[in-house]
Amino acid sequence: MIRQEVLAPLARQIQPILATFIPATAKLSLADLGPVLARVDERLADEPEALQRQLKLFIRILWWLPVFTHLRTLGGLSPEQRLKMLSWLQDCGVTKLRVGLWGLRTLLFVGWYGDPAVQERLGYRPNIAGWDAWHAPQAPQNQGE
Amino acid sequence: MNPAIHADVVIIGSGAGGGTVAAALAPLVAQGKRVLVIEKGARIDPKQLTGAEVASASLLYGHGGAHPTADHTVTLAYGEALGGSTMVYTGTSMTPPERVITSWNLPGLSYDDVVARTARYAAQNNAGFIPDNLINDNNRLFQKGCAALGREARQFPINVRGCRGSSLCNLGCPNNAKQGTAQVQIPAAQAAGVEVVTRAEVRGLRVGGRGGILDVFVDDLPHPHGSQSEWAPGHHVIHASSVVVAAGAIHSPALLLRSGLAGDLPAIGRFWTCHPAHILAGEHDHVISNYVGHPKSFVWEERVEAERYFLESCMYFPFITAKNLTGFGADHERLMAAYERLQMILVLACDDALPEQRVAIDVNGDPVIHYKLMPKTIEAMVRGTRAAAEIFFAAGALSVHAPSARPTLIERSENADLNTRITTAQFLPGTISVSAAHLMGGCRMGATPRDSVTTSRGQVHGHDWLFVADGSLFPTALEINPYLTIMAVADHVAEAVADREGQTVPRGGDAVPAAS
Ligand SMILES: Cc1cc2nc3c(=O)[nH]c(=O)nc-3n(C[C@H](O)[C@H](O)[C@H](O)COP(=O)(O)OP(=O)(O)OC[C@H]3O[C@@H](n4cnc5c(N)ncnc54)[C@H](O)[C@@H]3O)c2cc1C
Ligand code: SF4
Repeated sequence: MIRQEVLAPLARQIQPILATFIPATAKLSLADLGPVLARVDERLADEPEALQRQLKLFIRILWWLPVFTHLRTLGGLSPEQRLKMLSWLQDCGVTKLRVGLWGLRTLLFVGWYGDPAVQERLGYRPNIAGWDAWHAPQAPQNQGE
Repeated sequence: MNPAIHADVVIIGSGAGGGTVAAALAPLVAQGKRVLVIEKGARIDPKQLTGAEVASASLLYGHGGAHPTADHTVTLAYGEALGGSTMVYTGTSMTPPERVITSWNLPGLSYDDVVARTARYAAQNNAGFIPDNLINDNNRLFQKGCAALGREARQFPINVRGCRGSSLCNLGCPNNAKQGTAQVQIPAAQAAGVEVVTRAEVRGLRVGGRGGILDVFVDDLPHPHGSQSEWAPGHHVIHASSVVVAAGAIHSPALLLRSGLAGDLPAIGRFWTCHPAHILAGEHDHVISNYVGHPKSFVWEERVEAERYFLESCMYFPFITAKNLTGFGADHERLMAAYERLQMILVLACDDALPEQRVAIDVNGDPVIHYKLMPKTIEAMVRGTRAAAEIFFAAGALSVHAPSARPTLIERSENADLNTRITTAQFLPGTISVSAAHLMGGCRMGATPRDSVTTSRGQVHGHDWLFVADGSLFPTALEINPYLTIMAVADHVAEAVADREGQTVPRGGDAVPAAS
């Protein structure tokens, strides 16, 4: 099946946002972001095109917004400045902005926390064999994807 | 276009409502009737279910499990596969509260009748209590916290057969242990000759012939599991004497709206409710067995009538957990790193059935859900959050994440300040995650076409060939997990359909024997 790219082309703009939402991702290169954004794109594949367009526009707005306040794009802000700006948006009085940020945050969480390797690192190791695997002498295994 | 198809009864949807009607009407086949089930979702082979969170959600749910409301402040979860939402439900099997059924005041649908029918379906689905030695830490902590506060956590039956405790219920049971319509009612109906067509979406209904005419479109897109429809791809027209709409509380009203029925029936889509919910997390100092064992066994509902919320033990997967914890950044990440030490509780609010809470359709005829979190609902969720925080602390949690608190993390030392820490002022729709899986109303039963869509037998007012048989029939929120009541009401509707067809069917779910 051909996989549709929605957010993947915006990796450079998404990188500082993702690093603000999940600081552990700050060390990821643009190439490392590929699988994260592929999971997001998989989730977005069935969503209406209008929603996909709105999302891309929202990411571009976030990228350019600090130019008005700091004369720099989001990528040029320090981690503290980015956190301050995105936290302000999260609690601002405009519902549309809040839900936009919430939606983007949630999608990026799909990309990161939906990764079976990340899930295993968090200690999530379900097994189809359930209690049998839990009581087995060896540690229960993550069944992976 | 494919040649026209003629049937006696067509059932749209195979979830709790549609699957029940299919099994209840199966005896009509032996009486010479043709009964079809048309299901939009695919037939899923449980052997191919892996429990992978993102892939399973895309496979089994509509909108990946997060259909947003029009203003995007609530996300709605429902199944889209053969078996509907019963493919992804947890199997909590509850009898409805008497006050709710009585308040519906529907002739022919007394509380005793509903209870008798739910009991039959509970037996059919093998509902029973998880043995004490198979209850996991997360459920025990809920029980322990409630007990320490003098609250009675009630254990409820769940409908499994051969459950191994893999805790993956909401991602489809890979052991085929959970008993939904795809395991119980649909196979029984098929064995009796009911035809089931998957990957087929009904896009329109109109009057014609002996009853109604349906426009059905069969999907030919590649499916991740290679699941194919029983019919050729493309447009099919079906002529039927009786049509039963059981596409769920979003898609049933949407189908009636795009079929142009709203003119005579202004209540279509309205009085919609969903038990909006929060997932709360409490951090303990020790690892909790939360990904082994059946995820859900207890409810605390002593305040549901007075304070409009109830609490259930629950366990969610990492992405869903991350989504439900408010905020982002280092604090959020730290709490996620504590995932294996998190206890979880689900807070569910009882929302009012109001005409302005409604399913509408867009220019393509697809559903748009105009649903607002009303002040009374927010107050109920906040009260529920405080009560859950007390349970977490009483169970030994070090801190509690409460979406309607700022900062969201409440330390144990602040236990006495919950009323000031958790407030409606800090409940910011759009910032905090609210989701719902108990979708109800939109085609409510009632006495008149002015404020309801169907009679108390599920027959659409003014259209004797057209019936509804799913969660959309509920006049108000049920105030408890709904699937058994949906089955009971669908069973009652099936009798009305059989009457129209001039046939009789065994009463009260006897078409499928109770599990032995
Ligand atoms: C994650 C989750 C957990 C839950 N856990 C519980 C629980 O433990 N206990 C409980 O009591 N309840 C639970 N519920 C709720 C319960 O599953 C639902 O209330 C119930 O299944 C709804 O039944 P229904 O017939 O109204 O709709 P559904 O079961 O959703 O079935 C509707 C069906 O119609 C199909 N359909 C839709 N549109 C069309 C169309 N145009 N043409 C053809 N087919 C169509 C859909 O694909 C679907 O299969 C849960 C729900 C979810 C999502
Ligand atoms: S806990 Fe039981 S019912 Fe749920 S997925 Fe595992 S085996 Fe199936």
